[in-house]
Formats: sequence, structure tokens, C-alpha cells
Amino acid sequence: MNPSGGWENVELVVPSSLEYLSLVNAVAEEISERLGVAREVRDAIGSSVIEACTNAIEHGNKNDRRKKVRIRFRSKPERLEIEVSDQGTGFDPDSVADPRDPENLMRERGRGIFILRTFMDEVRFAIEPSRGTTVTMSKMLGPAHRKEG
Amino acid sequence: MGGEDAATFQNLVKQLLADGRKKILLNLGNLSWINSTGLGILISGYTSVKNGGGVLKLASVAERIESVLMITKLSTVFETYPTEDEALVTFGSE
Repeated sequence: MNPSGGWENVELVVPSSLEYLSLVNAVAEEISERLGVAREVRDAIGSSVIEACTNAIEHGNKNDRRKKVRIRFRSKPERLEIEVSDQGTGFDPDSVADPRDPENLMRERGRGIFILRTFMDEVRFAIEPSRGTTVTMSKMLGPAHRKEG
Repeated sequence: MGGEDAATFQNLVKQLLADGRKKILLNLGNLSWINSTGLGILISGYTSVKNGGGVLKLASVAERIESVLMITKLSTVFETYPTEDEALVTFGSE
């Protein structure tokens, strides 16, 4: 009997440095591969995880390598949940402007949260200024998300 | 992609413009993914080249990166081509 109620958990903790994004991406791709999802879904998951970690490293932990970013993948055959936690002071995710608006299109920043919300089915933020921010993202993995054949 | 990459790329663009090279093609064939920081670096380069009277295009863009460009509408900013050769042909007509 699976003690986790059918969920499989994989956790990764990395220092706050963008050089670890390749490692995070490799883990996300491996998990997507094990779940048998289609390429577009794997790409969406990978881009979202990378973006959440970029946000945690740059905006949450301010590139302070002593602070950690924790990534937790929880998967069932029909659903993948990903939590990314930082140790920063938090921010207002609803204050981010639409990067597609003409006045924002050429801005060099401000796309991260939009990317998460576009690629994933659910995105929630839990902000505790004294402890950090956790973003929880989920993707449904129905038959339409599977590789063909 | 991060701060050092941004500085390296910006310096390269500045050098090319200073040398009078204004038709710049970025081959992203070795890049399998991109984050918003990387997008910012590309936009910064694009803006510098445009302000310098030049043009910057992209070639060999991975599907995963194409999809990020698409959802952010940056696909309306960057001209992308499947291969370097196909991109270079378009430079010739400008």
C-alpha cells in the first residue's frame, strides 16, 4: 500500500543561484517523462517550474546563495502538483501587469507569474513575510495530455 | 541566464554595433529552454540593435522557447526562422 495516498513525492533543495535552473529543469523533465505526458505538456511544466524558481531566486531570496529554494513535485497519474518555496519577504502576485499589453511588451521584466498562470491549470501563492513565499502549481494529466501511442 | 549573461550579451551587441555590423542573427540552436530573465536579455539586445539602426532576428528556436514567445506575444516582436540559412536570406533583401 502506498503510504502517501497514491502521491509520489520528489523534493529538491537548491541554493539561490540561477545556475541551478538546469538541474531543476532536468528533474522536471524526468518526472514528466515518467508520467508519460505529451511534449507540449512537458514543456509547459518545465517552463513553469523554471519560472517559479527564477522568481524565488531573484525576487524572493534576492540571489542570496545562503537562502534555499525548495521544490516539491507531487504526482498521481492524473495530476501533478509542484510547490516552490523561497525564504524571502513576499510580494503581491496580483500587482503584476499584463506583459502582453502594448505598453509592457518591451519591458525586460514582469513575465514570470504570467507564464505560470498561462501554462498551469492552477496557481496559488501562500505568502508569509516572516518565512517566505510558496507557490503551488498544478497540472491535470488527463488522456489528452498523454503521449500518443 | 542571469546578470553575467546579460552583461556578456549586451557587450557583444555593443561591440557588433560599434563595428558597423547591424544585421544580427542569434542562433538559439543550443538553447533548449528560456526563463523570463532570458527573455529580458533578448529584449534588451533587440532594443539596443533597433536603437542603433539595426535589426536582430532569431534562428533555430526550440519549440519550447517558441511557445514562451507565443504566449507572451514576443513572437510579434522577434522574427524567427527555422534555420540560419533561411534567416540570412531575409537579411539579404533588407
